[in-house]
Amino acid sequence: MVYVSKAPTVWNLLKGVVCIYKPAGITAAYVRKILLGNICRDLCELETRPPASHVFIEGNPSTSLNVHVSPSFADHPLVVGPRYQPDDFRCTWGAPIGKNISGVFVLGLNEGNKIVKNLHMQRPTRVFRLKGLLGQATDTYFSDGKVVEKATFRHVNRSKLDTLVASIQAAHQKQMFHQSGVDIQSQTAYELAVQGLIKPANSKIPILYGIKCIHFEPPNFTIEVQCINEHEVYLKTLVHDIGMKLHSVATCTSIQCIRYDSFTLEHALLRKHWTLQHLMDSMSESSRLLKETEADKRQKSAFLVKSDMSRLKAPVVNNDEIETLY
Amino acid sequence: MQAITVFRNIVINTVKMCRTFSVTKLENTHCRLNSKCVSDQMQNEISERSNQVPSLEDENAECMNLELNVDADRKDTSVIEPCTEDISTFSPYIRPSFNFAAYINNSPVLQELIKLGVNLHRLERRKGVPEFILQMDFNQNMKEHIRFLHDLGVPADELGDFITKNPWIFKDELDNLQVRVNYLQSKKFSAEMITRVVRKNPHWLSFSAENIDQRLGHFQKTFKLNGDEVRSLAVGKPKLVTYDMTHIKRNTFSLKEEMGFSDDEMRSLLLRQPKLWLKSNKPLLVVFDYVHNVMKLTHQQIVDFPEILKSRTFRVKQRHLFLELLGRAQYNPKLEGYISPKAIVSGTDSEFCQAVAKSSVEAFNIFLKSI
Repeated sequence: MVYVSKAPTVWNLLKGVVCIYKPAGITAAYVRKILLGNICRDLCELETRPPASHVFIEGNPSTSLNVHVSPSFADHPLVVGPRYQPDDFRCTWGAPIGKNISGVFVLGLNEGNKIVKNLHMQRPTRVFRLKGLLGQATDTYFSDGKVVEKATFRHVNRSKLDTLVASIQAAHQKQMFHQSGVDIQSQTAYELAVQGLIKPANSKIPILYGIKCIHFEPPNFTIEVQCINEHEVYLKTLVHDIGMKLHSVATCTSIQCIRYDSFTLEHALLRKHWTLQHLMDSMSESSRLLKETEADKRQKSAFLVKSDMSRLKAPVVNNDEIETLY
Repeated sequence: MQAITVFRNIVINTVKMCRTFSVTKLENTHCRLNSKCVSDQMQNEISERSNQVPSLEDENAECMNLELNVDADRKDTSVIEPCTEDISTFSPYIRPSFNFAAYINNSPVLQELIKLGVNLHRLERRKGVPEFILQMDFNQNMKEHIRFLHDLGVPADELGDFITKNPWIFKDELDNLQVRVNYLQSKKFSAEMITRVVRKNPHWLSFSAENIDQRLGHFQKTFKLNGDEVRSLAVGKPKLVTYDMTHIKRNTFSLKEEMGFSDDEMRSLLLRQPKLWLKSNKPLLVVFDYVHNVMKLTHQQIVDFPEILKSRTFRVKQRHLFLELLGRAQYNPKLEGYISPKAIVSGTDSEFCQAVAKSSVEAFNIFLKSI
């Protein structure tokens, strides 16, 4: 364990990937603003560099001149501002995340931006938990909108929902082969198909690899989806469409991202932990994780990687696990 | 056409700043320019301030005059002959700059302000303030004001913060400031109360006595307060009195018409939690909506524990949902297992989990990752 009290040393270490838990209801840009504000606040509390010296010459040139050195006022933190300011940082995210989505959110800091960008270019899968409410539909497809339609849902049961999500999954798997970018009748397509799940060639078309209902208690239900190329509105409309197919209507009430590539909820930092110390820990944890899963050496090929495939089966955090803790 | 005007304004401002600084510079270095020139320049400046809108041509003409004066002194010597006199004190004017850092090593005023702890970095972003500060002389314009504030009871270590928040205090005459203090005395504010008002709200003294009287009158009339209550409100939250009145009226409207508090309840809220009137309107409505419609707290309960309206929605929400999960969300004082609304929002997460939720903070953290 090494204790560092000097801010410049810490600044040099601030390059990497942080994984945080984004609360629902605030935008990604706002999360970034809070994060950088916190980092700057904590950095300025450490031992920052002293003001530069100011050299000036005084005296009568015809007799004698004296050279004086004193701390320069022009470099005082009260004049030029705090030593570390949010503008000094480069901080972006690879995978965009909508305002109403909560959950795992991966950001890069300084040199970490490259890693995040590369990770995003490999198009890893994300896993979402979507909570839906049967019986009403809103104009925004989300619970914050105005209710525009109501319907009964007494006829909806677990088996009907399971059948529906299974058929959605089958349709998407078929779509996956169509989107592979090769002729479906060719030998190449066959060779791709025997390897397992493949990524779509187009980065705009959402593909669901797995979808299942994990909780059903009418009118509330929860489904878990593993997907690529998804976005907030797509997930909201998915819930809406499920409602329509069940001969009822449904609204999405919450979207939670529980996994992004190999980052899961257990790596994510809660809002109260967005402090310098926790972020530094998160950075070292992330670099270890990326190394273990060989994120930099991963493919340019069309297949899902092994880590993705193995995770498609099991949910990341069980509800039962949470309940045993109380 | 518009672009040209903008450009012109910028030019005028920078020239002005540059000039202002050069006055201080001349005094410092005992420049050889005759004192008439300096005084002319200062007079120009004073007249300029009264005129407010000098044209670019005037500026140029003045600059030319200044140069002519310098030339007039030196024209008897040829440039080819070796120079025998002391010219080390001549230096070019300091260039126009976008912040104080360029001037501060040569400006005693700015250095004094830094010693007081004034945050110049924050001041320079405010409109009109840099020009105003640069035209100040510490002994002439500032010393007496600072002494006055110190006599009123502002401690030396808070002066920097005070001036950072309200640099315009130096604009007012001392007599005017005294009148405003006398007004408070006439309204039976004790010396300690006045000290607290001035310390907590640096802007207070910049408001005229009539304006303050009007504002205090508004609170007294709207909420039917008696003298003591008005005084306790002004001392408890001095910021409220000088705050944007439109905002305060909007929040009063929200509390009365949108949330449905009665006049008596509003008075109680104002006296116990005046900060509610400073909070932004939308977050206030959102947190009330959650507390009243989801947590089902009555108006009376909210009036008894107004702290809950002060806190942010996500804080109330996550703690309420956690209590609900544990089956402890019971806010009726007449039943068993009562949890007061104040207990929900006070304390850190670990204190809350231990004392109120009777659970562990680890469980709470895992729960937070599920919403």
